[in-house]
Amino acid sequence: MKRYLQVALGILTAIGGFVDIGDLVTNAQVGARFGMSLGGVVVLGVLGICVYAEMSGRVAAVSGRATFDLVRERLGPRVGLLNLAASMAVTFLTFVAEIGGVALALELVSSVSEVLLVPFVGGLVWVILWRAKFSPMENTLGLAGLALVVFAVALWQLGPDWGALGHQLATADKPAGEAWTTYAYYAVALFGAAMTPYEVFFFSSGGVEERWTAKDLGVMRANVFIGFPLGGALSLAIAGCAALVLQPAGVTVDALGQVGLPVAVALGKVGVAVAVIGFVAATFGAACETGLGVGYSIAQYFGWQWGKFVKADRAAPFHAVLLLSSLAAVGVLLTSVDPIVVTELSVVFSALALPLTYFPILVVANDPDYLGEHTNDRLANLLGVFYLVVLSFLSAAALPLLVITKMGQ
Amino acid sequence: MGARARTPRVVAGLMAGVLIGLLVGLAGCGLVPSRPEADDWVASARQSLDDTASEVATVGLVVEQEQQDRLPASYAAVVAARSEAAAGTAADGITAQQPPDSKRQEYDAVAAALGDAADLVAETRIALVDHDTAAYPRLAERLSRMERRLAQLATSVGR
Repeated sequence: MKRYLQVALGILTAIGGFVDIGDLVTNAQVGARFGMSLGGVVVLGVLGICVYAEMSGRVAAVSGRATFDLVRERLGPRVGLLNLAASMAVTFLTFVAEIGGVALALELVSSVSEVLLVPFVGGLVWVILWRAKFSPMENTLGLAGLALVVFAVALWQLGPDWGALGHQLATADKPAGEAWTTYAYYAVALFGAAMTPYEVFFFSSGGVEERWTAKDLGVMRANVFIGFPLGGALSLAIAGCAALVLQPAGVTVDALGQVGLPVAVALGKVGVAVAVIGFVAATFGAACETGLGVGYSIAQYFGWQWGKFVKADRAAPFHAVLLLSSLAAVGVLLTSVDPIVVTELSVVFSALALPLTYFPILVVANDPDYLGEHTNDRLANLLGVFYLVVLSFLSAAALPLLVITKMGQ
Repeated sequence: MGARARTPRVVAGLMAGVLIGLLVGLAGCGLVPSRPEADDWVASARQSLDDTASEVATVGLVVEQEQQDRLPASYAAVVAARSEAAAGTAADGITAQQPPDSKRQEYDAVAAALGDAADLVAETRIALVDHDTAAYPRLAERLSRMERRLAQLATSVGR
């Protein structure tokens, strides 16, 4: 019975923890402009994150060691450093966006300017990273993130023509009047949002924190193959709500408040209140994950003691990185940069860095010295290579599309 | 010997080139607004009109939901305030540029529409914050008209 509860809790937190500010904003933007025509990209991206999260989770469970630790050892310090620089830069940018996202969500209920809320949010995130235990933190925020299920309820309540939505999704029918370059730019952004590198690193480092062993592979796979796709379904629900309400109204999304308007149309005040709880939980949870992700990656690369399973004074450099990155993120946001713009940039730069962050995982997952009999099977390698090719293509296209479309205008 | 004598001249020539380049560059950073080509100006005007129309549509949707008491007051006020700021930014995007001579008349029409739209969004935000429910039906109608005006202008500009 305890085992079933453990599996259920893992799946629920995986669903609730899947959506972050990048998913919220990008899916709503895409739904409002392109309807469900780019939904297939979300499906493809979610399958991709499942493939690589399973690989990195397996590496953590079987070897008992986290990704950056092994990447440096297996591929050498130079490749390790390249891997670290690419994923760290994107993870930090995402960390900034998530803290800004929490502030934007709190602004919606407090009417206090997001800039004034940022130091408070940054301080709270740091205190949690410093003091809270790993599992209660992950479970509480993941479960609270389930409030975003309200978007699925709102979509159902809006009573769409499911056949028409499905047709848009299946045929990738670009709306007339939208340029192909803009369409491609948002496809890259959606992919970047779905396959954000920090999710994989956090997932595998979390496995080490929770002391997974080969016996936990089943639970880990249930989290990945059930939790992540259901989290991806929430992303599609957000896009669907935007397609049904914002697109016909002529609203293009440039603020978090606009993302919740379809919920108001469908479910009224109570729905909006639940959506705001979901916004806060999703962005706060992701802020903790990305903050830890920055600390994990640097500490694992340099071989420092890391993690929340050791006391803070025994992992002082790790906690110093957490503190400094929190301060730096708050500093960036205090320049009054728009967190939505940071989010848009973070998902595109995420796409740019994806091959550098995922290639080493594929190499390590094929090494019998670390994984013994649990190395990749043929299907995992086939999918892994397929996604690397796709990611390389998207990575090459990301910057030119960003410039040509002036960030999707 | 000859090469040595040439070296200071080359250096002096390079320095003069750098200084002239800097002066030209700094002159371009003056207070005179940028003067885009006609096609670039038209694209910029359309973008500003589209962006502003989206903000007008956003506050229109907010007013509609507020009329039915389906939005928390603070949420409505924050969304409207964000739209007001974004409409102002969109208007600045076009009014801060020096219009090409051939587009002067269109500039006047676009600037007037963007200004009127920004004013209307601000007026709506004031009504939402004051919870002036009596003003909502009239505002909803004006916002709807403004959306149509901006859309028509976006279609006709540059034609």
